[in-house]
Amino acid sequence: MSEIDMSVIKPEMMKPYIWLQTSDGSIQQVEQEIAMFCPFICQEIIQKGTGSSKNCAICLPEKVSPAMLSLVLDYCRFHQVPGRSNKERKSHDEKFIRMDTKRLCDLTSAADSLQLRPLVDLTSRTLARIIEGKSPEEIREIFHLPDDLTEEEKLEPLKNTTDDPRIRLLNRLYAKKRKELKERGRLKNVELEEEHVDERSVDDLLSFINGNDGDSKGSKTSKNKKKNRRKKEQKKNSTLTEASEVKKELSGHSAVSDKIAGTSNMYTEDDTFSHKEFDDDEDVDDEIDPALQAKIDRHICSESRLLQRIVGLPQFTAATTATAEGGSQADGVAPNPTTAILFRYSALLTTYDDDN
Amino acid sequence: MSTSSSHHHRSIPTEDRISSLPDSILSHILSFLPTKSSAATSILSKRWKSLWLSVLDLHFNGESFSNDYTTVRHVLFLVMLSREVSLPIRSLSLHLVNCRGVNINDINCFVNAVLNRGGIQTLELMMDIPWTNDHLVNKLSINIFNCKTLTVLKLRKLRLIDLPHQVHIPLLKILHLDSIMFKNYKEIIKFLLGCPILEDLQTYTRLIPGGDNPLLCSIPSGGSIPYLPNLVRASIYENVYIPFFLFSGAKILRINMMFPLYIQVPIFHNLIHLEIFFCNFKGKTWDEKWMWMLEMLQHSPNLQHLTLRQEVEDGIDDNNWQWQDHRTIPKCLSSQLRTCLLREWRDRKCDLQFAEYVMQNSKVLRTMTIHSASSADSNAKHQMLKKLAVCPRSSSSCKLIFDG
Repeated sequence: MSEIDMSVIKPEMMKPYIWLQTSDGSIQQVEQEIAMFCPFICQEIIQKGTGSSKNCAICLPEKVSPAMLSLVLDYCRFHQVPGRSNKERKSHDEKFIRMDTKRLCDLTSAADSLQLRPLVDLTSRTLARIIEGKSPEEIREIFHLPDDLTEEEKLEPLKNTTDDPRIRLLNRLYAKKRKELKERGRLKNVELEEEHVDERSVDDLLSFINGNDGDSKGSKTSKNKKKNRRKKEQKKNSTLTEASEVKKELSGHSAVSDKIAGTSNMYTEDDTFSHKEFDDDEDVDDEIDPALQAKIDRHICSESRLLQRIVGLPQFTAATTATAEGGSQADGVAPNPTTAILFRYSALLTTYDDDN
Repeated sequence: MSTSSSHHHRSIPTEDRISSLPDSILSHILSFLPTKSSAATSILSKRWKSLWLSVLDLHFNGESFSNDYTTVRHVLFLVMLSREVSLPIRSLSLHLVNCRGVNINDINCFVNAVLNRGGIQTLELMMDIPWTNDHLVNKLSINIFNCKTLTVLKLRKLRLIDLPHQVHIPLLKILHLDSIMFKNYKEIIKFLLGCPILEDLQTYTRLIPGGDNPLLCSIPSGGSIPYLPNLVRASIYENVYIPFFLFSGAKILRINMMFPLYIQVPIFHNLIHLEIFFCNFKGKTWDEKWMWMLEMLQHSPNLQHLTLRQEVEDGIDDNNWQWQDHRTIPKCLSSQLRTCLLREWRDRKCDLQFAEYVMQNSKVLRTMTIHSASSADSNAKHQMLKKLAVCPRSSSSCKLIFDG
C-alpha cells in the first residue's frame, strides 16, 4: 500500500477483528481482543483457525443469540481491560446485572456455552439471590415452573432412594420385628380399641418401610376371650422363643444395637423387647404396643415438624400424634413413616461412622 | 397444599424460563443458597425434586438455621442420608450460634462423614459454644490435618489439642483461626508449618492451657529458620504465643499488641504494608514500646505503608523512655516509606516524637496523616498541630494531613 493510502485508513481498522456467527445465522465482526476473553472463542481461533474472515466465521453455540452475544461482549469489553480495580469491577457488575429474570436465565445459558466462568458465576449468584427467601409459589411464578408434583410427592420430599446397605439392614430388622408384632397382635383382646388403632398404624409404618402401599393390615377380629387366653399362653411360649431369636439377630448386630441404645435417647426395639418379654403379666402384649407407639409418634411428630420447617411447608396439625393421652389416630399420611425411618437411619449413621 | 396462584390467561403459552438451563447450572445456582433454602426448592416441580441433593456445597448458618440443637442434629443427619453417598462434598460451612446443648462428638462425627465423601475444599466450623474448663467440650477430632484437597479452613472456638504426629495440608491457602486452643506452642508451629503454601493467615484470640512461658516463644536459634514462603497476608490479633518468625515472608502484616511484651521479630524482607494496634494495656506501662517499634521498622527494609493506632488510657504515659536519636535510620524510612497514618494520636511527648522522627527521616514520604484521639480536647489538638506543622520534613513532597 502506498503511504497515502495508509494515512487514509482509520486507526480502528488496524485492530484485528474476527467474525462470529450467532444462532440465527447472522454474522458479525468483533474486535479480537474482546472476543478472546471467552474461552470458547479462544479455543476456536487457536485450535481450528476459524474466524479470520466472513466465510469461515466461528459458529457460536445455539444458546447464543445476537442479543445475548451483545451482552456478553459488553461484559468482556469492560473486564478485559487490565487496569481496573476490584471496586470498579464490582460496581460495574452490579449495574450490568440489572435485567429481567428471563434475560438473566438466557444470559446464564449463553455464558455457560461460551465457557465464560466469571459471568456464569455472576448471573448464578444473582439468580440465587432472586430465589432466596421466596415461597415456592413465588418462585414458580417468577420462573414459570410447572407445578407437576402430586400432593403426596410434595409431602415426602426426602424419601431415601439410594441402595444403601444400612437401609437394607434396617429393613431386615424391621421385617423381623413386624412379624413379631403381628404375632402378638393376633393374641390381643378386642377390649382395648385404642391399641387397635395403634397397632394398625404401627403396621402401616412397618409395611411402608418394606415398600408396600400404606394400606392398613387386616383388622384384628374379635375373638373369644377364653380362646384368646389359651392361645395366648401357647403363643406366649412361641413368641418368647421368637422374641429371643429376634433378639439374637439384633444382638448379632450388637455393635449397632448397643450403640443405638447407648449413644442417644431414642427408643430401641432391643430395649423394649428385652424389658417386656419376661413380664408375667397378661398385659405384657398390651403394654408394648401403646408404649412403643407413643414413643414412635413423639419422634414422628418432631421429625415431621422438622421436615416442614426445612421445606417451608405450613405446619400440619392434622397429621398424627398419638400422645400419651391416646389421642388421634394416624392418617397414614406419608411424612410420618418417612420421617421415622430417617430418624432411625440417623441413629445408624452415628454408629457406622464410628466404625469407619 | 394446593397452589393457589391465579391462572393467567395468556395468548402466548408462558415459557418456562429457567428450564432451558442444564442441571449443572441449576445446581450451581443452588450452591449459593443456604442449604435450608435450597432444600425448599425440592417441592417446586418434578425436575427440582432432587436437584438440591446434587449441590456440592453445604451451608448451615446458625442465625437463620436453628437455635435448637436437636433440630440442628436431625437436619445434619437428614441431609447426609438423603444425598448420594458417592457424591463428593466440596464445601461445608457450619455456623452454630446461640445453640444450647451442642454435643461436639456429633459434630466430629458429622464432619468426618462429610470428609469421607471426599473432595472437600472449603471447611468452616464456627462453634459459638460456651467455653468451659472441661477440655472435652469443643474438642475437634476430625481427619483434616492430612487432607490433600483442602484449600480454605476457618475454625472458631474449638480445641485442637489432639493434633496427629504429622500435619500436612498441601493445598491450604487460607487459614482463619478464632479462639482456638492448642496444647502448647510447639503444636502451633507444627500446625502452621504443615501448611506449606499458606497465603492468608488470620488469628484472633488464641489460648494455650497453662505451661508455656511466653518469653520462651522466640525465634529458634541456629540453622535456618523455618518460615511460610508463600505468605501474603497475616492478621494477628494477639502478640503472645505467636511464632512471628514464620511470617517473615509476609507482604501485609497486621498485629494487635495485646500485651506489653517485647516480642522478637524476624526481618520481614517482603513487608510492604504494616499495621500495628497498641491495645489498652489495662494500666500497665510499656517502657520499651517505642524501642520495639523502631526495631520493627529496622526489620522491615521495604516497608511502604505504615499505620499505627494506640488505645492507651489517659494518664498512662511512656515518658520514662528517652528517645535515642543516635540509632541508625531504618532503611524503610530513608528509601521506601510512602504513607504513614497515625490514629488515636495524642499530645504526648513520645507520640509527637515518633511522628517527628518519621517526618524528619523519610525521604520519599508523600502523606503523613494524623487522626487525633477523639477524647482529646480542641486545645490539645491545636497544640499538636502547631508542633507538628513546624517540624522539618526530609521529603519535599510530604503532605501533613491533620484530621482533628
